[in-house]
Amino acid sequence: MKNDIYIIGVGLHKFGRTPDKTGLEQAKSAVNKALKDSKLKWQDLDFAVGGSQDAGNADSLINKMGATGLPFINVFNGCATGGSAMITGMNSILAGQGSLGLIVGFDKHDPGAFRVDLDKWDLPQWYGDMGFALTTQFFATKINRYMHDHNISESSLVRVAMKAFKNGNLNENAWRTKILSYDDIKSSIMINHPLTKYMFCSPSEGAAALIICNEEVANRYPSNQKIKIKACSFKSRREGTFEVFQPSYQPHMVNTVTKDAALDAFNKANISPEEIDIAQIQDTESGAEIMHMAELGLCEDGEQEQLLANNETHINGKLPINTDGGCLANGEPVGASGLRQIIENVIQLRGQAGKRQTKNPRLALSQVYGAPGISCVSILEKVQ
Amino acid sequence: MNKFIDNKILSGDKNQFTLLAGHCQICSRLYFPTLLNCSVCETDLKEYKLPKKGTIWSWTTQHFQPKNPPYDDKQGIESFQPFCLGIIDLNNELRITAKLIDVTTEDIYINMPVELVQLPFKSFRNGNDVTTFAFQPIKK
Ligand SMILES: [Zn+2]
Repeated sequence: MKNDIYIIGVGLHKFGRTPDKTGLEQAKSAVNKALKDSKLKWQDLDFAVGGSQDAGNADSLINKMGATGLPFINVFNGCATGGSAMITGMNSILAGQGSLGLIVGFDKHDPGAFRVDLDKWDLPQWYGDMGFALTTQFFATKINRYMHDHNISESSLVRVAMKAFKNGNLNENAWRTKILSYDDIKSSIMINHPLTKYMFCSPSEGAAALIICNEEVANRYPSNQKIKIKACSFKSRREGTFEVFQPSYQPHMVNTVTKDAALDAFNKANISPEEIDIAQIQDTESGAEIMHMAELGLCEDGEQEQLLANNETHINGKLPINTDGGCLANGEPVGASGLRQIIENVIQLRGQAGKRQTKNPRLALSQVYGAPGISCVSILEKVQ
Repeated sequence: MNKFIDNKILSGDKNQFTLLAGHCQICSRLYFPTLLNCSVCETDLKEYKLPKKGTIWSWTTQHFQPKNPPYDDKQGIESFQPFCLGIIDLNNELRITAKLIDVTTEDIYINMPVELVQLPFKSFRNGNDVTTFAFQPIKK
């Protein structure tokens, strides 16, 4: 179709800790890999979109890549920055800004939990004073209630983390590559009940870059190189949802923001959730992956217990999830995280994932979530 | 008169102590903490006393010391002790985040009835003794 948009190049700088490189240098490395992958030069780009929380302004990349007059838009939406960069890039093509664009995200965070600037998130001082300004508490209360409502046991939380590190072990770009046992995870120190240390991801470093283009440019590429963006939907929360960083909640609940974004994406793609072959899901902690599975429509509430017990979300299962190890094994460099998911889907759909390759996937979903309740769902399709 | 951690959310004295929300008289929405006006109707909000009893909608623990700033509990910063916190359902009117006291991870449960109590709070930032709020199990 005339308005279709394709991904023709991807590049990733290893996630984790790279003490000798700034965030912008890691971004440069990812951009160069993406350009090489698509056999393009920096000068060929019509526009760029990028974002980072702690590692500098994305447009400063022109100092490293070349001051060519390229229109370079900076975007930022917390943990969902990769999603906003992606959708801004797609809209740029649709609006006629150009036919070929770069999407880039990168970050470099200090170790430990994120320090929250209350004013930035529109939160009252007392909320921070009393020790509530922590995203980890939100995820813990959300999964605790979910486990109560839908009979999910602690073993499911452990299984999600076990799978993440197992997949991370197969990924040369992952941060945490050591396989951990059930007991290693279950008996690691408690962070926020019911979640232990190894069930949480940590802020890290890394960079991810994509080259996107319109149909006309995509026609110049072989079908096993280009991946079609079937749909991308970016939503913010509605009144009556339980989302991160809210001092109070309406008791009359509506669909979560992820559910809203997923429904819209499936609608745009004109496919049903059962058709999805693999998924990269926001797994800030084990419980988030479990809840997001149902919010995305990939299973029913409560069904996760059995799916996880049967290893169905493993690489060789019915519905492989977070095949690159997800946030748990890669950590979360906020600006890059959402694009890492999309790159993993591209590599899987191309059949280039090596040891962690899933069986002939055609449709791949990704979902990125962040404060103050925003979610972006993308669906990619292999070109037949 | 007590000095509260924030006069926008708490009022009263030792005996009469309530959490304050803002109530829109047109659409009945409750805001905690209150805003200048209703974000839907744009009219002024009326001070509303939230129920003092509720149930635990969900809960968790805080096992590590949050970063300071924004964390400012002097006692917690000098010798941190893990604490419980919950999302408290107040009579199905509103759910709020609150610290839970007099509970352990062994006896706490979802839907547990709890009541509002005062909690002394020392601010590290300005050295003040203030009063904040918490919830505790309703004693039979
Ligand atoms: Zn109103």
